[in-house]
Amino acid sequence: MAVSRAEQWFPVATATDLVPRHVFQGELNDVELALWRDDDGCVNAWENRCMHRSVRLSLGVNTGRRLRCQYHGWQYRSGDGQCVVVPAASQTPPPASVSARTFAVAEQHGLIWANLYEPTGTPLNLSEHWQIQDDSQHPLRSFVLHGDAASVTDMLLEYQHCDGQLGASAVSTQSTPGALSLSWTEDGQAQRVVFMLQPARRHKTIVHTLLTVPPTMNEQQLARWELRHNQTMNRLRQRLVESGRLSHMPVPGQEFVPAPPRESTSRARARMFEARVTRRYDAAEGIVAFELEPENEADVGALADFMPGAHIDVTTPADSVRQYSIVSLPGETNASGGRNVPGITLGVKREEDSRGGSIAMHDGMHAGHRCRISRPKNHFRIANNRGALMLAGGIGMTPLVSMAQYMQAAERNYALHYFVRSEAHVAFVERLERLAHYMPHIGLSPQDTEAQLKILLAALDDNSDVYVCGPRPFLDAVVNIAEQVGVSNDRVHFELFSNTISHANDEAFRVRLARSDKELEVPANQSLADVLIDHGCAIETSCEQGVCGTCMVPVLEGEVEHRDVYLSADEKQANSCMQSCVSRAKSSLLILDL
Amino acid sequence: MRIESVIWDEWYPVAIADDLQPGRTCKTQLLGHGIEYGCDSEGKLTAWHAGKPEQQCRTQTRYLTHWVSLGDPQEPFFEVPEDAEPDRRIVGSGSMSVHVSGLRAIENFLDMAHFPFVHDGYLGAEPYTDVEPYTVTTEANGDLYARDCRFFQPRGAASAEDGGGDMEYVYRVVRPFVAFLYKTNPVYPDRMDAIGLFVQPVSEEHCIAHTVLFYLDNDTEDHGLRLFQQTIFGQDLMILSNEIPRTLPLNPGFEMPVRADAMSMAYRRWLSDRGVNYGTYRDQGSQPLPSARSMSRPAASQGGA
Repeated sequence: MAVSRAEQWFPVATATDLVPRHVFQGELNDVELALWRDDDGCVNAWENRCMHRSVRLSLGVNTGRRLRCQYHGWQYRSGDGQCVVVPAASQTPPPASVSARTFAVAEQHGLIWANLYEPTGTPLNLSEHWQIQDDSQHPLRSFVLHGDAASVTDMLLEYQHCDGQLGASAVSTQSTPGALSLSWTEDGQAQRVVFMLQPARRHKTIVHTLLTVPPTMNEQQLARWELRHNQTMNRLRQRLVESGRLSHMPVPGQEFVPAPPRESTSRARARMFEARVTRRYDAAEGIVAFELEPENEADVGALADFMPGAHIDVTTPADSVRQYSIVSLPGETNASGGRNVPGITLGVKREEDSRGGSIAMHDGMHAGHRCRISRPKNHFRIANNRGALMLAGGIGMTPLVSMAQYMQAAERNYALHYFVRSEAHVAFVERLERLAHYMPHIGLSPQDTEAQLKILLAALDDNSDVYVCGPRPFLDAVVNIAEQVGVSNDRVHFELFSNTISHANDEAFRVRLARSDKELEVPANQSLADVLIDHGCAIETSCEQGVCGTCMVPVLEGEVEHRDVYLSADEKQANSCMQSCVSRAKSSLLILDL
Repeated sequence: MRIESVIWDEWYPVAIADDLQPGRTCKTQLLGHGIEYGCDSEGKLTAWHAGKPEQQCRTQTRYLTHWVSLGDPQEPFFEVPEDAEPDRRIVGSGSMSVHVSGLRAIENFLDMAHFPFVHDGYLGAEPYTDVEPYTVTTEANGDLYARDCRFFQPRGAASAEDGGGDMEYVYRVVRPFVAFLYKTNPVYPDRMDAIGLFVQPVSEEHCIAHTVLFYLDNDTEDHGLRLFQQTIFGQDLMILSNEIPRTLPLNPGFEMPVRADAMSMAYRRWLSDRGVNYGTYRDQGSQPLPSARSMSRPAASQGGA
């Protein structure tokens, strides 16, 4: 085959098919597509199937930034297709592995193009290929022909004979895989139509047509051309059907064809992109605010969508990766950027005794500086149906400010209490002043802080949960007091301000791999599956929640603490296998048959 | 295609007994085979391969439902203890044809997480979308159960008064195409209403879902009970007929479960353990679900490394 996979770009819709807040159902090489445009105008081409139960995503709702499946309300964000909300577990971040199957997509010549195989390359460019100026192109109506793309290309050569005005004029043809150009002279003017073929299914081709419009052509002439094209294509179709070369009905084929396998499954997870600091300012004593936005056009929507409480990974000027919470609300644009592109604001406290990430940020990140960052990640999130008592200690206010602004906008019940050393340490005053339920507690001693926390927690209403973020002693105080006043621990949600995922009840353990005679440490904050994968074991993971059974490993010795819902009680009792994504050890050592 | 015995030698519903007019011959399809059936004035069912009256099928009528088997069922018919309780009303609530594998229809029946999205205002409502953990067990007789299921429902039954409340559910799977749902009865705190979903696998990708209610509700007329159930099922139809592939994938990784799907995953494993193939999606890289049995400790000769 002459065409490389990277060159497999085909039109899948016209640009006007993708109207705002709509999900358009397309198809390419037998694969069904959900095509939609977000509120920034970015186009998404995804396999038309929710990863959960395979319901068509085209049945779902385009919310502007996300596509929401109609079955269980799973929400996939524009761009990387990451699933950001699973309503059945509203406070658990969906595993990073759950994302819509995305394809490379581009908008060109008034058409939407997609490539099922490669994330790179570009679609057919007419100005490069046939020296046709892009701005003189006008899309005509697209037609469905029930034949394969190769025979349809041949059939289109008869377009000339079906056009009442062309007759026997001298028409010159040019072709390239997937496209055919006809040009001629008419009334002294050069005319050209270009057909671009969409191989929708094996026996279904959609013919998109572009007309080269001379500068002198007016609206009426254009309307006449549209009519002429309609008539010509209808005549052509009739001629082909009558001569038995084309079916007038859809040709039955295999209804469901899965998308081609991904080249790499971990690609989406690791992807960082380039961002620029559009502004930096002092948010409080020792705290610097950074306004960031995506540097490249291709990543324009990358910071547009997250759940309040999210953080991003930042590669600091010292080349270390650090996590910082987002202070701003999703969809905010930074005035400092001047591009009207959704950006974010971070607040970074200078930690002299830390490993150097914050110092590098303070000393090395200036306005205009470029850095590599991840898309927003959400480990700390608000329950979707309850009120929130938010307790912030120092720099721990950053995710809570975003959450509080969100709760206020949603007109939900919340209160933000900010425990801070002095007036000068109060960060993001302009955001706090806009909150109706904000209360600062300035300069309290540890004892007074505890007393105040006790008052707040004792008065907690039954319909609210507690959200805490701050230094470890502050967090411990809140957890202890909550227990004292009878607030159950499942109502206390916390995040250490270092943004590490909470594994409060986890302990480190060791595993010995019997077959390869290796012994590994599983630290408290890492799963067994991750440790095994890091050490080159061929473990597959899928749901990463102990539901699907994919990452099961055989156990020879040691007592497993089963945390999955995959194994039955008897199987758990037997202790002969475990789900390595969630389960841990009761004994200090497990021996695995790996 | 040869259909495995666990599916072939099994009873399948073809009609709700009340819906079949005596003396009339009806045509339908079962496991891809055309059949004809009818009942006499006594209600006695006969069924035969389409156009071949000499090829009779096994039949029986139970739980207000006419059942047919193309094969030779070995297991005794499943029990429905509620059927014997004299104060229960047993009402057929219709037969719905759906362009999807019957296994997907059963899986949908076993799912709570879709209530706020598909049955908004009836069986659920945003923002009450979280599914609390529940318990899944397989009984000694092979029945698969989900217990301790709770969900907030604005209007969980035809008889439910306004305001809504937490409903308790128990799910029970007795056959690959037969499942029951037990739910809180607003009047009797210690008993539950039961709904039987009896699915007729017309082909791998088509089914007819027959629903029979075993209810304690004495106030709502049959018509009201039926209307409620059919409203609910009508809401599911749109979703079910848009699942692609239409068959149920059993290999993990093709679809992604979360914790709320513990019952669905258990059902898929339960089917996989029984060797059910009919109505499942079999892609090229298909692997069976991992089994704890296949991971049992190796023999002494291999162990002790």
